[in-house]
Amino acid sequence: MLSKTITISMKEGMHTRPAAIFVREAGKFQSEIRLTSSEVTVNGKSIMGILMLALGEGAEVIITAEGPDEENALDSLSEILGGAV
Amino acid sequence: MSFIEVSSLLSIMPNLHLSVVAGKNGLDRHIVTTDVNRPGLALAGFYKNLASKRVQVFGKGEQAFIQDCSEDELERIIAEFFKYKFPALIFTHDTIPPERFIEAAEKSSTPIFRSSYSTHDFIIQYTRVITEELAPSTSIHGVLIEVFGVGVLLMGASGIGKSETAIELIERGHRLIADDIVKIRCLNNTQLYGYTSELIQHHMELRGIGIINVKDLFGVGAIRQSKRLELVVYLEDWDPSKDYERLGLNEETVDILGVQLERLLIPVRPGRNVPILIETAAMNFRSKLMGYHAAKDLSDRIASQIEKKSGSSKK
Repeated sequence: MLSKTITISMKEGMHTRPAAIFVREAGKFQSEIRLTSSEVTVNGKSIMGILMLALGEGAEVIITAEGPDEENALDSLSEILGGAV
Repeated sequence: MSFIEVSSLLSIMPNLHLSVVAGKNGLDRHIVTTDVNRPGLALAGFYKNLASKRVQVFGKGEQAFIQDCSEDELERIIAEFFKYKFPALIFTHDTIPPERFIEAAEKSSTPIFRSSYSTHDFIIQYTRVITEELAPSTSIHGVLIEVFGVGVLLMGASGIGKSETAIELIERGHRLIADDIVKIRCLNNTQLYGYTSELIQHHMELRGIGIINVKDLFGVGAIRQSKRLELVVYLEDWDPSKDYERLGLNEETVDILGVQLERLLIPVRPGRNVPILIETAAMNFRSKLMGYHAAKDLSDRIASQIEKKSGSSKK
């Protein structure tokens, strides 16, 4: 299991479109993906979960990947959330 | 350890008519226990075993005590009492605490509230609400639906068809409580209640269609804010190498927040009608609750038939 703390870099935060992009990418990996913000953890492959976190620009989120392709998953998804890996 | 901030008392208990009289700076203090304490003994000078982590309720007795004592006595009481860091003091019957008390509370940042309730009613209401707020809780990925009155939690990997199954059940007249994120609270260590998140409540995601609002499409009768969890159904891709339940005699359970819930594992395959299986599972669950266990009953009847046959053949 790998984790990383990312600061959201999108100007309008994780609203519906970025959330959909993230979820589409997350769905490609076998690993379980989780996002944690302010002590709330959601399934990273669920769009409703990400929307519920209501992450704005600058918000800190911990992304966790657990599974056979966890390294690739973490790198790829971290980039979508916060830019540089 | 779960806690709530003292400040949230104002929002979660609006009907207790609480108002802050002093100590606004301490409103971020934590309440960690459901118990309250009436500090009569402490006011009288006995501080051993003082439950200082509890909210202190000043009822008629306590109020009369501090009104009746002399200025010097009050000073002594205040000097000792406010050495402790209480989460909050509550004065019931809408009584305003003495000026010196208010000053001491401001200095020590101890919140003091007034409530128009009587002490008895306040304690009952307060305990009820705080027990819910401090109940162990968690959040699960799944869909919570009420089917024939039974709270069914659908779980399974992303994409297995939980939301699609749920929408079919809603169309058949059942109710959605939460899609995707089910918040769960454990009350009395025996009952689990599932809730929806206010932000995304009534919304569902259906791949290919997108996000829909169930209340808008199906009406108020298709949704519920909370429901007791009674049955857990796991959906998974049919695995030919696995043994799926054939009899229904062994009841598998799953542990959520320390409570055991009956658990069913339903294999999903193209052409299989999952919603009808969920409805049937719910009805069977109710039937068992009412005392009739079909599998056990049949098993018993077969056993006695076998006994009868072998008995007659022995003759």
